[in-house]
Amino acid sequence: MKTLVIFGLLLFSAQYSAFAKSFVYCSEGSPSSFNPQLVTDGTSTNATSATLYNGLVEFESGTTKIIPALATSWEISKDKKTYTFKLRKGVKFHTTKYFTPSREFNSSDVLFSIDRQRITTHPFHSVSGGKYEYFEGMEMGKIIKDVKALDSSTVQITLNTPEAPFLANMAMSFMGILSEEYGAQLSAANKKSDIDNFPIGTGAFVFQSYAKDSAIKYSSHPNFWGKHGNIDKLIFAITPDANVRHQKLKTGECQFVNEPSPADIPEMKKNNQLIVMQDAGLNVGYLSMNVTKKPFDNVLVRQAINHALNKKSYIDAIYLGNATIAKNPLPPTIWSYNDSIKDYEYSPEKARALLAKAGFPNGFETEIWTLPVSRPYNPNGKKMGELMQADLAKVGIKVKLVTFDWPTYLKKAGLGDQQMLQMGWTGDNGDPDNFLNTLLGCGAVASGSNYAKWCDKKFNQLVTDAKSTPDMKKRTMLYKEAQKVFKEQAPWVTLAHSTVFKAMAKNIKGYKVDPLGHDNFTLVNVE
Amino acid sequence: MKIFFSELYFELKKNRGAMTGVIIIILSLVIAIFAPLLAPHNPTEIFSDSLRLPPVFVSGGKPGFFFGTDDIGRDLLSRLIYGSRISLSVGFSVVVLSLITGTFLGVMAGFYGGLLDRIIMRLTDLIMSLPSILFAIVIVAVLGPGITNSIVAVSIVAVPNFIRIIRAQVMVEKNRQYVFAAKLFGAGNFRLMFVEILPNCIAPLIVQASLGFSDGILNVAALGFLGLGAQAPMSEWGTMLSDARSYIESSPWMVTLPGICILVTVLSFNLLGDGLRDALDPRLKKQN
Repeated sequence: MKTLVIFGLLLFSAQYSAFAKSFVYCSEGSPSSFNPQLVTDGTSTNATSATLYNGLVEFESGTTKIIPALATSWEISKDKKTYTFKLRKGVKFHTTKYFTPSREFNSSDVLFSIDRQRITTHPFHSVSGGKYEYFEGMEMGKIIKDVKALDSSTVQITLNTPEAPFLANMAMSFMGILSEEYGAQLSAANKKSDIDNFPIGTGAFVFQSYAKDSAIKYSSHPNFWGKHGNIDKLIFAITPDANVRHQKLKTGECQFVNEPSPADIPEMKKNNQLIVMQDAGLNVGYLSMNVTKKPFDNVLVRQAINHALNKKSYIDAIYLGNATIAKNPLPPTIWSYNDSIKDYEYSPEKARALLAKAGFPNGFETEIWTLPVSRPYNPNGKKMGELMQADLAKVGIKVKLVTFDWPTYLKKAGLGDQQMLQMGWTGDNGDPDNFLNTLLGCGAVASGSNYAKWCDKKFNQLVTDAKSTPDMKKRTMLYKEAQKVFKEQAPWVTLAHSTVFKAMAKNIKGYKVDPLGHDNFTLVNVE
Repeated sequence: MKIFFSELYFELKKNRGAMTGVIIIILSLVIAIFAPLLAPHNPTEIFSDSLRLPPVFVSGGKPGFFFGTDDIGRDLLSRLIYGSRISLSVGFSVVVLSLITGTFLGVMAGFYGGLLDRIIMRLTDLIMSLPSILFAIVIVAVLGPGITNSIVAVSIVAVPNFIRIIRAQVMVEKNRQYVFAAKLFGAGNFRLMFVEILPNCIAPLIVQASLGFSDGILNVAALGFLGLGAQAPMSEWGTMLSDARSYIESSPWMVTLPGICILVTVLSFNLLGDGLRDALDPRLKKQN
C-alpha cells in the first residue's frame, strides 16, 4: 500500500512538472566551481555568472554596451580615479534549502565580494585555494586603491591611476556579487568552502542541485529584480560529445546546444524544427612563436612562417568556411581595429627567401603544440596542425606535432616550454585592451597569457599609454599604432576570426547570441 | 619439421574459414608491400580544393579519388593502402617482440621452477589483472605517444599469454623420456631448453601468435583512436577512424572505410588462428 501511494505521488509530481516551463541546455562540460571569481572558462561562466549572479554593471544582452544592473547609476570623478556607484534597492538574494536571506542586497555584499579577491587577509580569501586568476590577470589588485561603503546603498571605488577599461572590467563575470550574510552564516557554521559549491546570488535562477558530469538543475528566482523570461526550470545536461549534443537536440531531449560541431551545421540548418543562429565571434585564433627560443628570436624567421602558412586553406578545411582570415590580433568588430594593415600573403617563395636571409636556407626542425580540445576560435587543432605541418614542409621546416591534455597544455604553455603554439582568445569585455595588453603586453609574459613571451618596449608603451588615456580618439590612435608594431614584429601568425553558432529548438524565443561567448537565458521564453 | 608443416597445410586446406583468412592476409600483404605502386597519390599530399569528397561511385565524387578524400583533402584510398603497411608491420612487430620475450621467460619459468617460476608467474598475474588496453594506455602515457612506443606497450600487454602457454607446455615436456636421454648424453640446460624441449611446444605457440597478430593490430588501432599511437601525418587506421568521427553524419564514408579495413584484417587473422588451432590440437582432431 505504502509503495502504491509513493508511486502515485511520483506519477502526480511527474505530471505536474510537465506543465512547468522547463528548458534543457546541453552544455559541453562540468563547471570547475560555482563561484564566478574562481573561474575563467566559458563553460563555468555559463553555469555561474550567467545564471546565478549579477554584477554592479553588466553587458546588455547581445552587445558589449554597459548597462546598470545591481547599481542603478554611477558617477566618475573628474580625475577619472573615483567611481561612485548607487546601488539598486529591493534586490533579494536566493532562498534555498541551505540559506534564507533576512535582508536585501546592500553595500556590504559589494565589499564582501571585491575584498575577498583583493585583500589577502580577508577571512574568505584563502578559501578554495586563494587564487583569483581573472582578478589577478586583469591586475585589478594594482588598479583598485580602495573600496568604501559610503552608506548602505552607495559604494565608492578609488583607483591608483586612471583606467579607461575599468567599467568594462566591472561588468565581467568575476565581479559578480555574492551574499555577505550567507558568508557570515557559513563562517559561523565553519563551512566556509560551501560558498563556492552551494551558490547564493541575485540572478534570475536559483541553484537546486548538481551532479558532476551529469546535470545542473536550477529553478527560476521568484523575486528576481529585473526583466526575465518564462523559464521555470533550467537544466544543464552535461554532454561533452558534440555529436551526441546534436542527436539530443534532434530528439528533443534538449532545447539548446552549445558549440555545435561545424560539420553538423548544414544538417541543422536543413532541419525545420531547429533554429541556427550565428554571429561574428569576438575571437581570434592564432599560432604563437616563442621569441625566447631559437630560431624564433629572429624576426625574419617569424615573418617567413607568416608567409609560409596558407590560411585560406585552414578556413575551408577546419572552420568549413565559417570564419574570416585574421590579420590583426583583435577582431574587426572591436573599435580601434586597424583595417589599413596589410597581411603577409601566402607565398612559399618569399618564406624561403626570408629563411635564407635569416641563415636557414635548408629550414630547421621544430615543434607545434596543437590544441587538444575544440574551441570556438579553433574547432580542430590537430587537423590544423597537420595542414601547418604540410605547409611548413614546403619551405623546408620539419615540424613535429605535440599535444597534452587541456589543463597541462595551458600550464606548460604559460611556463613557456613551447616553440610554436596554437592558441586563441575570446574577448570578455569588448575592449581592445583585453586583447592587446592581456595577450601581448610585457606584464602578461610573467602571468602566463602572453604565450609568445614577446615583450616589445615600443608596443608595451603604446598599450599602457592607451590604457590610462580617457580620450577615446587618442586611445584608438595608440591601439592602431600598436597593431602596426605587432604586424612588423610578427610574434604570432594570426589565423582566423570564427563565426559562433548556436542551435536551438523552434519554440525558444528571445535568445541573443552574446558576442562575449556566454549563454544567458534570463530573457529567454519557451513557447 | 617439414612433415609438420605439410601436415598442417593439409589440415588447414580442409577449413574454409581459415583459407579465406589466408587469402585475405596474402592479399593485404601484397597491398602493403607494393603500396607505392598501388596508391594513386601520396598519402600525405593535401588537395586543398577537394575537401571531403565522397567516393567516386557516389554522386559528387571526383575521378582520381576513388574512395573520396578526408577532411583536409587527402586521398582516402592512398591513405588506406599506406595504412595497411603500418597495421601489418605493427601486428608483426608486436607478435615478434612478445613471442621472443614470452617464450624466453616461459621456458625459464617452466624449466627451472622454484623461486624464478614464482617471480615470473606473479609478474604475469600482475599484468593480467589489469585490463590490457588500460595498461597499454598507462605505458604509452609514461613513454610518450608514438607508433614505436605503442608497439612496445601492446607487446608488454601480450607477453603474459605467451609465458603461460609455454610454461605449461614445458612443464609437461621436461619429464619426457627424450629429455632424460638428452640429459644423459650430457646436454647442458640451455640445449635442453631451447633445442630439445622448445620445438615440441611450437604448435600452441603458432596458434597464439596468429591470434596475437589480430590483438596487436586492434590494440594499436585503439591507441591510435585515443591519439596515443601513430602521429600525424602518418596514415594509421585507428587514427583515421577517430579523426573522422565528427563527420559521421555529413561524410559517413570517412569513418566507415578505415573501420572496415580494421574489421577485415583482424577477422582474417582470427579465422586463420582458429583454423590453426583446429588443425594442431589433437583433442579437437579426434572430435571431428
